[in-house]
Amino acid sequence: MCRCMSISINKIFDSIPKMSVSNGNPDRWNKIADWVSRPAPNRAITGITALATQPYIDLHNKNVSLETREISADRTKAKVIVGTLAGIAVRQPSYNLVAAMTRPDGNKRYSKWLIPSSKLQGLKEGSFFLKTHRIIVSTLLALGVMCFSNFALDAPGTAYLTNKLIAWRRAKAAKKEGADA
Amino acid sequence: MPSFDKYLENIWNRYSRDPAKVLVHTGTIGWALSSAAQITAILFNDKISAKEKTFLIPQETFDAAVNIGCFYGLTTGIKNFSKKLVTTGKILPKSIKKYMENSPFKHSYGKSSFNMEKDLTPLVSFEPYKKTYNAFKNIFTTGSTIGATVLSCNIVTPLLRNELASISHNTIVKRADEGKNQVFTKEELDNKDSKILQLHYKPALYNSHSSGMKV
Repeated sequence: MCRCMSISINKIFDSIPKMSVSNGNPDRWNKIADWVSRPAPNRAITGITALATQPYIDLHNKNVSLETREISADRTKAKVIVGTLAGIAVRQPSYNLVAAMTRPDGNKRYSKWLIPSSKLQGLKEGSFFLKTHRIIVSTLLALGVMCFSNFALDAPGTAYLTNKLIAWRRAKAAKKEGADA
Repeated sequence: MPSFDKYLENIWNRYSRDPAKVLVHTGTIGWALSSAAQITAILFNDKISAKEKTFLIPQETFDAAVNIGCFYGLTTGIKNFSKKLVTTGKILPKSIKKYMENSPFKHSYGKSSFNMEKDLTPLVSFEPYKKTYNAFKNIFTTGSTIGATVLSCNIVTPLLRNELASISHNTIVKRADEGKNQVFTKEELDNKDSKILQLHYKPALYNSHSSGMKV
């Protein structure tokens, strides 16, 4: 049955027409791909798009009351803003620290600390494996920091901003009601 | 006990070829941690009423669960599919497509069984196109992975988690409304393990024993 499914998936795949894109500059493509793969820019992209979509989805959740919807949207906004800022604040220094400790051609005492000694020979700055190694080690380091920052920074920050947003929205609604009356 | 260098070597060998693997693993732990912190924050936020908490707590719990599920299913699926589109030659930059049209692989490229990397690497004539091919594969799969992450984390997850949290919220509210007719003693109330249950039975208690006490 699995084999049959695989054959039909392959048939569907083969029926997709061939496509082409205009020629670009390979160096530029690599630069963009490397930059957006880094933990901090990656977090920024997901954070900005989350702010554009998630509160809207929460506000249109017809299964709960209007007040619950509005509070849910306020909390989502607060969580995304605080989470993105804290996420970038943790990830970027982690990446910079790891990058400083993974320089095969660096001559500082700590330049090669985070490169496995068996991989040092012939390793060049800009190699694919070195770039991914930096991303991985900095992500692991950031995760370690986030064990504390999630509780110490994200959660209280989200609660504080949620309350501010709720108060601001209620004050705005009261002002509007007053003006209507 | 293995040395720190051995750990680094393990990380290099296991993940450097496929960093997405570690991102999924760390992402899973990250979401679980973040959700635990956020749930704690909701529980102790006295500006949010008990009724809203019965929606926000399941919403946050389902957020992590659905996010992890979507990431394993949707994001990884789209990432693999986009990689296959490039490695089979289904989508290529114009210059490489032109090369393929004049190559012996004219009829086979773009098929699911074709592999650009295996089939073309030995060819000397493909050498000038290698850099463009690798860069295109890099930008296309990275772009698709980010697009898939946005789709799964910021569109599919909020829709699903809201749906699931609404079911849970409405069930609890309905049960609490039914419970309003019951009167609990303080001791009975304290024996309830769940914080959510307490939040919902408290109004019933306060309604009968006190007036206007804030929950």
